[in-house]
Amino acid sequence: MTATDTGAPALGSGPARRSRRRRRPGRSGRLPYLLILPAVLVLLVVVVWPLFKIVQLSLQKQESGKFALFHSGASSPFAGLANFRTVLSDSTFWAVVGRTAAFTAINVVLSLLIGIGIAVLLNRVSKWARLTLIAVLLFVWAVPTTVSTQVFYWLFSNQLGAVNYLLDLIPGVHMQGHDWFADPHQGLAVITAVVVWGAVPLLAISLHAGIGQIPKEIIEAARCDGATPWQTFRQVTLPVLAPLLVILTTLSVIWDFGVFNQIWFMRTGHPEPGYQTVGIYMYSTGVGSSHYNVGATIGVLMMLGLVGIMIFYIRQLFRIGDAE
Amino acid sequence: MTAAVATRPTTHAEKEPRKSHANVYFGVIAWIIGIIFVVPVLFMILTSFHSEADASTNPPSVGAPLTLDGYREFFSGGIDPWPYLANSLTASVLSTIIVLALAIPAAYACSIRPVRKWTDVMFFFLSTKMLPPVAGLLPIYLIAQRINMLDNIFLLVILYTSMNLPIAVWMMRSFLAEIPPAILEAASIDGAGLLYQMRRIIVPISMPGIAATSLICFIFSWNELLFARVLTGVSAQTGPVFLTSFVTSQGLFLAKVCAAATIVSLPVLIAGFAAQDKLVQGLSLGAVK
Repeated sequence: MTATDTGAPALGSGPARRSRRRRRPGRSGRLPYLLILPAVLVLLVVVVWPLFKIVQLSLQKQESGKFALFHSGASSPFAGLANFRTVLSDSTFWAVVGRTAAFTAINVVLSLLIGIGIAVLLNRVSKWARLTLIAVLLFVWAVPTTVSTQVFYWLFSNQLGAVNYLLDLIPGVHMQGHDWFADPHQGLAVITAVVVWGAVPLLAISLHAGIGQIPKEIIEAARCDGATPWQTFRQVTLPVLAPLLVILTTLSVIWDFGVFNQIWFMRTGHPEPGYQTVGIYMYSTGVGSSHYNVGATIGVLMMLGLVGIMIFYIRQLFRIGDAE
Repeated sequence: MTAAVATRPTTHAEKEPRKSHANVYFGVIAWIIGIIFVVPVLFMILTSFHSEADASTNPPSVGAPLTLDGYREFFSGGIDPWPYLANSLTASVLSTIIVLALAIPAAYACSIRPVRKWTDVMFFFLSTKMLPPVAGLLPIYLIAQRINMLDNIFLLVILYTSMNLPIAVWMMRSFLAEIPPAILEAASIDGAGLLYQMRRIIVPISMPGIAATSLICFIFSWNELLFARVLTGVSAQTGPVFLTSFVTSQGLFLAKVCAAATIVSLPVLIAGFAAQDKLVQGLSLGAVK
C-alpha cells in the first residue's frame, strides 16, 4: 500500500482527495448498487430457489411412492415434521452421521498436517526444489476428481494394482491379490488417500504464501535468542498463520463433509452401506430411489449441521478483515 | 528428519548457516514428496502410451515400448469423444466469461466505490459457498425437470456461474483493492467515465488478477462432475461424465482408459502448468498482498 502511495502522480493529491470527498455522497449513490445487483440476483435465484424448494420438500408428505418423481410435488400435502421424525429415529442415519464425522475429521487433520509440513518445507529448500514442488502441486490440484479417483482405484486394485505389488516386496508382508475394498474401513482409507492427495496442494500453497508473509527478521531474531526450529514454528510461525489456518480448516471441513465423487466412483456407482456418508446417503435416498421428501429432509439436516461451522468460519473471517 | 536436526550444531561453524546440511536433507524430502504426489498422474500418462498387453501386467511394466494405440483406439473407437469435450469447453468458457462480467462490477462496488455495508454483501457471496453442493442436487434436479432444462448445457453454464461467482468476487475484490485510488481520481478529474476507467485503467492494471480468476473458474467448471452427471443425459454430457461412463464400459482396457483420462485432464493440466504464478497468487486466498 505504501509503495503505491509514493508511486501516485504528484499532480496535487490534495485537491483530488478533497474533490473525492465532496463527490462521494452524491455520485456513489446509485451506480455501485446497479453494478452489484446482477451478481446478487443470479445468486439469489440459483441458491435461494433450491433452498426454498428443499425446505418445502422436507415438510411435505410423499404421495405416490416410487413414481413420485413424475409429478411436480407442488400439490403434496403438508406433513409437518413427520419426515424429520422418520429420519432422526432411523439408526442407519445415525450410523451414516457417525461415519461422516469420523471420515471428515481424519481427512481434515491429515490434509492440514501434510499441508503445513509441505508449506514449511517449501520455505526451507532451494529455489529450484521449491519451484518444482509447487509445479507438481499445481499439476495435482488441477487433476479432475474423476481421474484421480480412477487412477487410485487402479493403483489399489487387487489383481494388477501397483500398491499390492510394492507392499508384497516387503519381507513378511503378503499382499498379493489383497482386496482393499472388501472391508469398508480399508476402502475408506484408500478414498481418504485420494481426498487428501487432492486437498493438500491448495492447503500447502496458500500456507506457504502465508509463511512467506512473516518477516525474515523475526525468524532470525528467534533463532538468535536460541529458539529451536520447533519453538520458532510453535511461537512465531503458527500464531501468524492462525487466521489463515482457521479459514482453511473450516473450508476443509465443508469440502470433506460433502465428499461425493471419490466415494461414488471408487465404488463404481454402487456404494455399499459401509461406504455411505451423508452426501451419498442423501443422494441414494433422494434421487436414487426417488424418496425425495426424505432425501430433502436429510439435506436440510446436513445443512443445519454445517450452520454451526459456518458461523464460526465467518466470525473468524471478519476478525481477519478487521486486522487488515 | 532427526538426523537433519542432529547434524545442525556440528555445521554451526559454516560461513553460510542458511545452506547447512539440514537444507540438503530438506531438499531430499521435498523431492521425495514431489515424486509421491506426481506418481499417480505420471502412472496414468505412462500407461496411456503402453499397449494393452503391457498395461495389464503385474508388476507394472514401466519400461515397456511406447505406442499411440491407446489414443488411436480412443478417438476412432465406437464412441466419438469430441461432442463431450466440446460440451465441457462450452460450459467452462461461457460460465467463466459470465462470471467475470458479473464479478468485476460487483468487486468494483465492494472495493473502489463501495456500497454501504459492503462487508455484508461479501458475506452473502461467501455464505452461498457454505452449502454443500450435494444438498442442492435434489432440489435443482427437480426444478430443472420442471422448467425443462434437464440435459441442457445452459443449465450447467448457469450452475457453474453461480458456483464460481462468490470465489471470483472475493478474488477480484482483493485485486481491485490494490489499484491506487489516486490514478482513478486523476482520471475522473480529467472527465473519464466509468466505462472508460474500466477499459483503460481497471482492467489493464488488474489483468494478472483477472487471468488468475478466470483460470481458477475454468478449472473448477471443467472438473465439475456432480451436477454434470445428474443433470445431463445424452446431448449435454461433459468430458468428465463421458469419462466415467467410458470407464464403466471399457474399464478392462487400461491403456485406452488412461488415454481417455489423460485427454480429459489435458486442458486443465495445461492451464495449471502454463499459469503457475498466477494460480499461486489466486489460490493464496488473498493471503499475499
